[in-house]
Amino acid sequence: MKDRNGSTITSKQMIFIIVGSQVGIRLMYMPRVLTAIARQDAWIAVLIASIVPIISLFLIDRLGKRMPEMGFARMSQELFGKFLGSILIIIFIGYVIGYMSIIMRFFSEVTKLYLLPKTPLAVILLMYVFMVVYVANKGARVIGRLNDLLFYLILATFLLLIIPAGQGDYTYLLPIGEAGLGGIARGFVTAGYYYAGIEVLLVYYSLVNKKDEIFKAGLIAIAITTAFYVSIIVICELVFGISGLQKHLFPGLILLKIVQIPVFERLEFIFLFFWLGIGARPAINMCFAASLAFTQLLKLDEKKYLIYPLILIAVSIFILALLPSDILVVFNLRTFAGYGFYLIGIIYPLLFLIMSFIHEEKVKQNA
Amino acid sequence: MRFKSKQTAVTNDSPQNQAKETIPDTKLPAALKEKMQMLTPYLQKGADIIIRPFFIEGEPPLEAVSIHLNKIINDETLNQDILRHLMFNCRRESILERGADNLVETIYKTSITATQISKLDTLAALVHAIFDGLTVLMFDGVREVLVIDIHGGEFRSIDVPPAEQTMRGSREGFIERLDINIALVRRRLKDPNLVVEKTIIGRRTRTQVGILYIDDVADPQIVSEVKKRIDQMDLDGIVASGYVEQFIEDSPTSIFPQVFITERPDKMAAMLLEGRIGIIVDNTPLAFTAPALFVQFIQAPEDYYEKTFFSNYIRILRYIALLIAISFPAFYIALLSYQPELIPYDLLISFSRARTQVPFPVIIEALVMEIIIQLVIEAGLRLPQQIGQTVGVVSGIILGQAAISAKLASPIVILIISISIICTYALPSASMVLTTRLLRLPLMLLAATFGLFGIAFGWFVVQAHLIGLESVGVPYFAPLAPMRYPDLKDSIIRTFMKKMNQRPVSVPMQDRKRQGTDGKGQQK
Repeated sequence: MKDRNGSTITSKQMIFIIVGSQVGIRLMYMPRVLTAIARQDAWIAVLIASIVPIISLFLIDRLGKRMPEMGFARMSQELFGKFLGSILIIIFIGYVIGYMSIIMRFFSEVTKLYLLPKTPLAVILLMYVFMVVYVANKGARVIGRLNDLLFYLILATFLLLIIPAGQGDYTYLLPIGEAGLGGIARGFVTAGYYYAGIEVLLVYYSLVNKKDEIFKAGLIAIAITTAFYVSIIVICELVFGISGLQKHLFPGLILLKIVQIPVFERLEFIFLFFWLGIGARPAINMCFAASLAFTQLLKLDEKKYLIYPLILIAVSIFILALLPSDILVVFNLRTFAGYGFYLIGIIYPLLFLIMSFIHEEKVKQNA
Repeated sequence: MRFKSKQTAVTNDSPQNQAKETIPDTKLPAALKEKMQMLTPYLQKGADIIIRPFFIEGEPPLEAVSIHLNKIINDETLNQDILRHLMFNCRRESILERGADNLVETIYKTSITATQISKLDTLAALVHAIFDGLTVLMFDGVREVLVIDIHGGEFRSIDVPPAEQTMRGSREGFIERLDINIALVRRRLKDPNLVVEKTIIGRRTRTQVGILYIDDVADPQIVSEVKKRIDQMDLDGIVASGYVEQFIEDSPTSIFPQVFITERPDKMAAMLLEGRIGIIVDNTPLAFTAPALFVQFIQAPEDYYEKTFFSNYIRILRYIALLIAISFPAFYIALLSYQPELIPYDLLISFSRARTQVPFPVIIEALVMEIIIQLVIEAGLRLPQQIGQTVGVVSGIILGQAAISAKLASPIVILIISISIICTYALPSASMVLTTRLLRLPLMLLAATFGLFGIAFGWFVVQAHLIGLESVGVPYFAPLAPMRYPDLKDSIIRTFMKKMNQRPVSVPMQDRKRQGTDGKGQQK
């Protein structure tokens, strides 16, 4: 009874898992980074950059259609042989660990900055890591449901961010296209990073119950994410202007300082309060993906042994996240994680797809 | 409802059990003396067993014996409707005339006016029948034994359900008698598809458990799962429905209630109509239904009896009450110790003025008051009603005032703890009240250690826990996660009765259609 649906997730939940893996703390600092490159046309760059996850989605979907029920790790071993396939998976897990330690560090820093200035960073980080292990260990179905519910919470709190837009100055957006093609193109490459999260589909694909709806679900998810990104950038530009934006580390949070609501004197606290769980969400989704890939790699029973790689990954994230000396170093490291996304999100599925055409008969056997 | 079905008790089937079974399953002999000899070892231990020998007139008279437990059967019925007929109005010859080969059949068709009668012919069944509270009639020269159900004796009459009273609903509550409880449900649900099954749990207590569901609404998989879990119970005895609850719930380690306990037959009928399964345990006035959803515990029967707007208002208030009950003291602690700047300035001044003379940190102050009030509740629960009220008044007024003047607590803390206690008891379900009482403490500790972040952390963990919970394999936090849009009509709000055309999908069932019309009198 308990396993009537196995560990499957619905395609609707897949939408929210993708959105949840993409939208997180980056919403708070992305406007600053992108406007530094593409000036007031950053929103155009983000809009166009949504093509990056769509390409990734298309490739993963093609790949998945050829081997729908095969897990990511098994697929890798079938296509590349035992040794090379395992290396590819370990690189994937390493990418998740590296990337997530950056995200967790950001979030702990924000928490420390706004809520707990005197608590050691390690303690805050430990609580986040505990959250991640606790939820991810509950399996794919719970992750699907959690993402589903949190999406509506995120949406409700996001509406708070829209309030200050009324006080903005629309001339900050003008003239449109001033950055020129070159500026937008450079913005495009950076903005592509911010769609990282779509690559979880590599692992989650085999868990979704209706495979033919995945492509549509992915498109909807990307559309939602793009809407979030474009609106936060436009709002930040309207309120701060380009040069004003550069002065804040997390302009998204500063937005809330502008709003004056009686009784709720400091709105960003209330906002952060709701966003704490949401901050751990990309980490939950991706750490689950990584540990699932790990159990598949060792051909272990995923229900029974999921917790061990999960703890291993969480501990490595914890240690890695504590290594950088300050938050500005982490911002630089963020760029490398972005390259990692291009590797895992675009090159991986492309390689896999090419190999699946080469090993046509193996694919057919398994189909 | 025939008593033969009772003998399908699962406990008798398991091999381990049969080894322990001391009563041999032999066929009964024909002679009355031999039968009594076989029974003697079982009957002599109980002083409450009444053995009444009598004769059915005739040439020669037919020897017979009636055996029953004292004060468990209806004495009046036994005397008037059974023994009187057999002893005075009945002759051996006339019985023999009607059918000599099947004496027992003839006796109960012609001479006994009680309605629930069955026959049995093995020793084990006979002994169990006696101790299950049935009346047994044995005749000389007849192998088969008559078993008559004339349950009676003293028991509580149907009363107002004390913990679930409503303004507009029925005033009837379940009592300790299983058959009467089933009848209370049946009176409200006359559908021939309402299945009533009885089984016996407990090797020694042999407690009857009734399983109720609507055959063409309830999901067969869930029905068989619940039955399987009840069948797997193998213990020497149960004395309350809580035993069954703890055996069939999915996660015993969770603090959230996973079956819905009710003492109202109308609530039970409404639950059955939504495809749930009702379980009533003999000797407990609290029945329960499974699978249960989280939102159910915030819903009260009045939500459906009152008009939509009132019930929505009250229901939303109850959700707020749940949040306040769990986290109001925690918020106070977090704000005062970590983010006092979030409190409006004037309020903060009066807070700190009230706290100047209290020597403890705010968490100690709040913890002490919280534990005292929890103990007051516990003390009031056990005491007789009059003294219980006194305890409440004494602790409420005198203790609170004394604590303030002794500078042990500030008035604000007492106010805040009291508000959260009141909010706790605004919840309609007693099991959810227990959960909130238990949740408040860890949240207070988290708030004291990590401030608002601690509360957010606690909430997130509770939320993730709720999402992961299942009740008989059904997601517990539905329709919120997984989000089930059609069911939002009856979750945090309740829409108009006419608009609730379909049964909620959160509980799997076979027949979605609830109303034939779309509210305008047209057939859909």
